[in-house]
Amino acid sequence: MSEPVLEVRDLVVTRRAPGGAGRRGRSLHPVAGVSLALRAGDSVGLTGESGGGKSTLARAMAGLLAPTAGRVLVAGRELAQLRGRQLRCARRLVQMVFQDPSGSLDPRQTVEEALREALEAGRDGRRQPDDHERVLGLLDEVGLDGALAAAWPHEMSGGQRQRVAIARALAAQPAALVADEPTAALDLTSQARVLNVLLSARQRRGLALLLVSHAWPVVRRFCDRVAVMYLGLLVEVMPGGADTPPLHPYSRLLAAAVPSVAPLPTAPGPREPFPGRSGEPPSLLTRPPGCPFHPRCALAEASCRTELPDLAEVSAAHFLRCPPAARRAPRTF
Amino acid sequence: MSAAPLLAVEDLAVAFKGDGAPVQAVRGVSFALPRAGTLALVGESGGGKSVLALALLGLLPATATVSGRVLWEGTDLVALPERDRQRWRGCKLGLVLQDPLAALNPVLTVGDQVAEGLRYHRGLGRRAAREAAVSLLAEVRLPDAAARARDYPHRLSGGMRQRALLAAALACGPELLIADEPTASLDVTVQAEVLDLMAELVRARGMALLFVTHNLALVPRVAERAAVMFAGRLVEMGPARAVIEAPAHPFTRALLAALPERWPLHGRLPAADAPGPDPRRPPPGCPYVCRCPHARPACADESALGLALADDRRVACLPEVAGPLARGEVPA
Repeated sequence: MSEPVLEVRDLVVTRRAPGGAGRRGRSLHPVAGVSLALRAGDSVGLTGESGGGKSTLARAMAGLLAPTAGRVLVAGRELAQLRGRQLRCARRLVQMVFQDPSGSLDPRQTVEEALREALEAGRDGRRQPDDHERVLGLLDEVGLDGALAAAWPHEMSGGQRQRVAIARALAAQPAALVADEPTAALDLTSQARVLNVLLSARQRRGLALLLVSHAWPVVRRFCDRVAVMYLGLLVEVMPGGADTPPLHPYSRLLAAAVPSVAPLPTAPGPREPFPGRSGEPPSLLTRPPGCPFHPRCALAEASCRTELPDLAEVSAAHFLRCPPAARRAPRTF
Repeated sequence: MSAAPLLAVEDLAVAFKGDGAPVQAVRGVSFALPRAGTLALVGESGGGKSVLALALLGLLPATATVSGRVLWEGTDLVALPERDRQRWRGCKLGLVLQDPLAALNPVLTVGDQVAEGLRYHRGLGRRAAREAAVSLLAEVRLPDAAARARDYPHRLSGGMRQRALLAAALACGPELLIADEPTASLDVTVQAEVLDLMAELVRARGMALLFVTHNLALVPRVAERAAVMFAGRLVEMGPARAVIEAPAHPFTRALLAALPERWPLHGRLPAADAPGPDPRRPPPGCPYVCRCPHARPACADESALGLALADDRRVACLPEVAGPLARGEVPA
């Protein structure tokens, strides 16, 4: 198997708790030991509720914040060991797209200026005579009309701005793209257009894609692999698509919470009630010992309250951090 | 008891002045909402849903020109003086918006904000309003309502803020609740709870509901009827289940195909790349021709559009297209 273009090993990110009586000085772990590898052409969907650490993990993987422990490897080289030119080169290989495209585009730059800047940054600030053609090529790649090169961010729709943000990320010739909720602010039609752009970029350029989204059906249907995160930990990593049902009670809670137009039940056979309850999303401040999901879990056993289970492989490419659910699952290998 | 519906919108149009030709955000929209009726307004961003809701409220900026009629139990609100309109908004109407943090005042406690309407529109004293606010917060199932009423908005989670906003909207006992994407900023797990809570309160209090969303999947959870809007016009309206199960307008079908649950696996997603029509110069007839796979010359003829599939189900499309689509057939 080829070497991962982007990998994290046992990554931990520690943050100081926000102020407030009795809380000052406590350490929080938005990422509490995560390992994940992306190879060229991979698409991994990272999902979970707000406050689970998805964005912190995404930023650490894009090299935008330094981990407290563990390693971030870009094309096999550890980011923390690189300096100067080599570090710039490694960072160029991993580009990020953010949720709010109006916040990530400079309101005083036209589309062309923003894309030229990204092109020049990729070659230490040097201009090239055919940069205008490259700008048009990038716009075409994200499905935007070349006439938009002269447009300002405020003249475009949210979906168009997000496609410009993707074009700017692609201008750096990355090997991996980390997209943090790129469609959360868009309606469903614009969401489909933006995801199509990511899909073709992946297919044409062999990009590895980490798509962060709170929407279960989005990651499940769009990505080849799905990683479910809860309070800083991956609780399930599984193949995408419709063939593999989620096993972790938390994944099943996420899947069941999605409103659907399908009349109930959606699947043939009786609909099983999901093991767990919804309610307010969890907080890192009140992270319980043992498996962090146990207070919301219907399968919780005595050991779940004290011991944190490992992420164990239950079938091919399917990893689960829940022994009770693993025992109930049919064994396929 | 009068025969007039609670709310009747007749040929409503909204245009915004600006550089050049006015932007026609809403064009010739008509619908009626009976007492305790629930209607979802569905469409893309920029399709005119929120402008329509603001026009009903009378909260559009001065650059907007409104024509047509908005009848509340037979009284035209568009012609009403602003002072009376404000009284009507306060007493008859509740409003829940997408971003609860922007809708709540950060320097007032949650309880004071829920109580504000009661003091202003119902003339309650400070203490009575505060007690009423706590019971409203309990009604929207905010845990530990009495303590939460003394909290400032930043202390609450997104879901709790949206519940508080719902409590404020319900405070004066409105007859119509307008909810514009009330759950778009919430986590899916909380989204379902807030929607179900809203639907339950609407039923229990016998309110009418106008629910604005871009997501058709949310519609059957809260509304009996659905109205689909594209480029400022209603293109399809009917019972929510019928519209979802047998969509007759090509745009409604595209909205359904854009739902992630209907996406093809790992492949290209169905999304037309053509932009919508220019809102300054909308084409004659159907505005959807620019993206429609079934477009034909007759689409430009306003009088040829329109088909009643049932008494309470209409679609603004050519009968030879919408008819077969509603039956699940491909138009010739």
